[in-house]
Amino acid sequence: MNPEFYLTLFSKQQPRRSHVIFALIKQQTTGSAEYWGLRYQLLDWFGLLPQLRKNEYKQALQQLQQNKDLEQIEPGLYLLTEKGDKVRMQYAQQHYLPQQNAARIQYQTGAFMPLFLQANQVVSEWSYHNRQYYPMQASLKQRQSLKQWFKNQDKTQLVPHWFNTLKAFLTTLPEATANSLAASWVGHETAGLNYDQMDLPKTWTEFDFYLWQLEQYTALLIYLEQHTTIEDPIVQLYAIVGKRMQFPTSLQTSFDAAKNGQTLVDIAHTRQLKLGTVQEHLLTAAIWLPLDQFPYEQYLTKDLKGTFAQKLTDPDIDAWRFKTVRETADIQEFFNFRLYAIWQTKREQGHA
Amino acid sequence: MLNQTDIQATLKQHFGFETFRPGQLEIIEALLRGDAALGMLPTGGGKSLIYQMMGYLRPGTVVIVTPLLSLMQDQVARFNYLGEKSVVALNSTMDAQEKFTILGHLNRYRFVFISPEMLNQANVLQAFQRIQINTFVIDEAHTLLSWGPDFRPDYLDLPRLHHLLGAPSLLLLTATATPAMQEDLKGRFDLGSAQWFTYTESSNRPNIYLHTEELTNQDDKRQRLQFLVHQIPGAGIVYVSSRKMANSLAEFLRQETGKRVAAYHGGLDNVARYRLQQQFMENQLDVIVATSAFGMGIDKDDIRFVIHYHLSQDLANYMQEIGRAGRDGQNAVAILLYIKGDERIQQHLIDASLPTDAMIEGYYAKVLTQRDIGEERARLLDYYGQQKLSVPAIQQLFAERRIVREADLNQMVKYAQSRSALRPKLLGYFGEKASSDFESIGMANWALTAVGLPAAPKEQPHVNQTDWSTILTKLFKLS
Repeated sequence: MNPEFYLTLFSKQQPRRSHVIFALIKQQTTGSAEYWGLRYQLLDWFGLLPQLRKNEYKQALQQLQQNKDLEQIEPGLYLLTEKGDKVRMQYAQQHYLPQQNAARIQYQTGAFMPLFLQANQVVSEWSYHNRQYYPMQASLKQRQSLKQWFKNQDKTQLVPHWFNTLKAFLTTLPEATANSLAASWVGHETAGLNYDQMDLPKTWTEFDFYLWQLEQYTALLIYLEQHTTIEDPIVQLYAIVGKRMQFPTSLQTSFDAAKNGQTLVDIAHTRQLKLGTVQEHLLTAAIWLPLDQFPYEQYLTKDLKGTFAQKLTDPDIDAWRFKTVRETADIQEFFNFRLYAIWQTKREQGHA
Repeated sequence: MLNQTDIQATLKQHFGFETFRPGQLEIIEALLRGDAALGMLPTGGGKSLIYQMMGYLRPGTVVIVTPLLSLMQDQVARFNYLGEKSVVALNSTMDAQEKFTILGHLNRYRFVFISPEMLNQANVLQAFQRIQINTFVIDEAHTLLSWGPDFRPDYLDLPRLHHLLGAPSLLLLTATATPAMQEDLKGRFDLGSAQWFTYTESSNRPNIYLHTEELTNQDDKRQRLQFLVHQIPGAGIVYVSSRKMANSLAEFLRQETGKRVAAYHGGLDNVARYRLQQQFMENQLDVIVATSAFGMGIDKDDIRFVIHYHLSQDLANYMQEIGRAGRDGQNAVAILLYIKGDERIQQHLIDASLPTDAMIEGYYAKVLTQRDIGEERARLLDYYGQQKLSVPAIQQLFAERRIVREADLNQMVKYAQSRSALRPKLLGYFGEKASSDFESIGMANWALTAVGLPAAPKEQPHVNQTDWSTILTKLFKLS
């Protein structure tokens, strides 16, 4: 990957913390990192590179700083320079940037993609009744899941069913996109093509091709959801991965209880959790949900909003500091402050 | 005790062969009678068949210590191809859960591939101590000596690990070990009452024509490479020293020779690597430009030329790399292109891997950290620190390693600069004698006809992108 890709995640106006961005793309977030992810409008990049190593990321940022594309304004806080912004725009023109990032997270496309590629090879070889071939590499877990899936298939229908679904899906794609996607598939006496052997922009790298593929497989998963049933072998294959649960069970339970009108103190008591944990659950829910799906009015009363509006006058929400509104040691105060910032952010960013 | 008829029957049943290649049966018989074996067989001489056979001839798990992740994965794919399913590669790409599951059921596997680093982990070793080990195999056993001291110290621990596993039946395999290396290797293992059986096949590959050229500058070398790649028919490999060079030369050769060329290196993801291997196997690619650090696990037996655009680390590695040519027994050619100063790349690699005296002193005095001296060097020094060696002793050890590696590199350079007798020089490194009647030196003496290459295989259609419905039809035999 070119280090310039990271410029996509920084801004010329808004100073951004490098560790927040790392935590987001690596999917190693805390409540605070997710809040800043919302502020930076980068939540859609969540979990894009789970394998990313800290050193690799640090070196890339160092290089961008050396190239005068990024400027460190205080330790860990960066701004795009004028030059960096131009490089960012140039990068966007020459490389692939995903369009359906949010859907990718929801559908867990990154986990489905290798599974599909291998299943596709298995079905292709099966259609030729060939058992002697070099299988594509896969983790043990993936191989076992695939074996189980294959065992459960009606072998008389598998090949036509698989073929017809793919055919129907490819028909929905632009011709060139469908051609490239199919060209990447491996199967019986078909080695498949690498990105640099296809009719794709010459400026692309392997990373661009990876992002491009994620997008196509996300489109496949959306297509399956809309046009097929559980009888479909690809749908059954996808069941091994499945959609991401929006929230962990514990968080969902706290949030459901809150929606049903229970106070945070009551929830903490009933669930034998710390109040701080329940507050964290609610803040995370607020960060990820659309404006109208979180009961802000239960917590942000008219009076509270009035007080905050009076005290938090800086138009830049990033500049708000808790100490400006802090009155006592009650932890509810921080919850209110953060929730108000989330609410204002969502309104400012035009979230539905 | 199994007799020869049983062994032959197993060979026929699992591999479909009637006869063994030289050395295979001798080594198998030695292992079956309880000897430890060191097999020095040339590249492509069928080393892996020996331990595969052991897996079928007696119970227990065959443990194969393998240096490279890519080789490990390719071996597993090859075993799968042959219909063997109870095989697994234990490596660093596995998550904790997966590793735990495999370690809990180790005895279910007939073959386990593992890196020395993984085997040296306490919980992994314990799991292997609980199972019956059929044979403990160290593949590419020369790496114990060439990588152990200054690159991968866990290799040095293999004799100790073998002992901790109860000294199971031991098999060392290599294609490139001098007689001194063979003795050194054997001396490191405690065999108890077992004896060593050594089988040595000549390293010579008489069907590979040797050729070297010394050129004056980079441009000339590039042009010469272009000419040779264009001229020599059949499949070929060009070895270079970096990924960047592999990519740029592949692009250059693609444009200038009209051949189908791809870069092949450790930076490729698994799927991309798989596609290139298959394309190469199916003659849809003519030339692979590869980094030497990256092994090519899948056997393609009709590679007709190997061209070194950069020097190898030493003659042992050079032999290993050119050994990929002509495995079908038909003639092939190994060409080395050299310009004065090329050795600087290898010299840099030596400098980059060995810690300096100041680094050694600073690291143990805790003045320097891993960050200052690099992860690899720190790991190496941690290892020697655990051996309770003094700082001067460790400095001495690395000074000696430098002398050995520089002397080995020097031999490589001498081969490149040689004005005569290429094969005697190459084989001399392995303590063998050879004549120099199938070789040439210098551009003026190069004649493709002298190589006597067989007719090139039928070229498969160019892999061009086509329309998706044609691809689907071909993939699933439906329309």
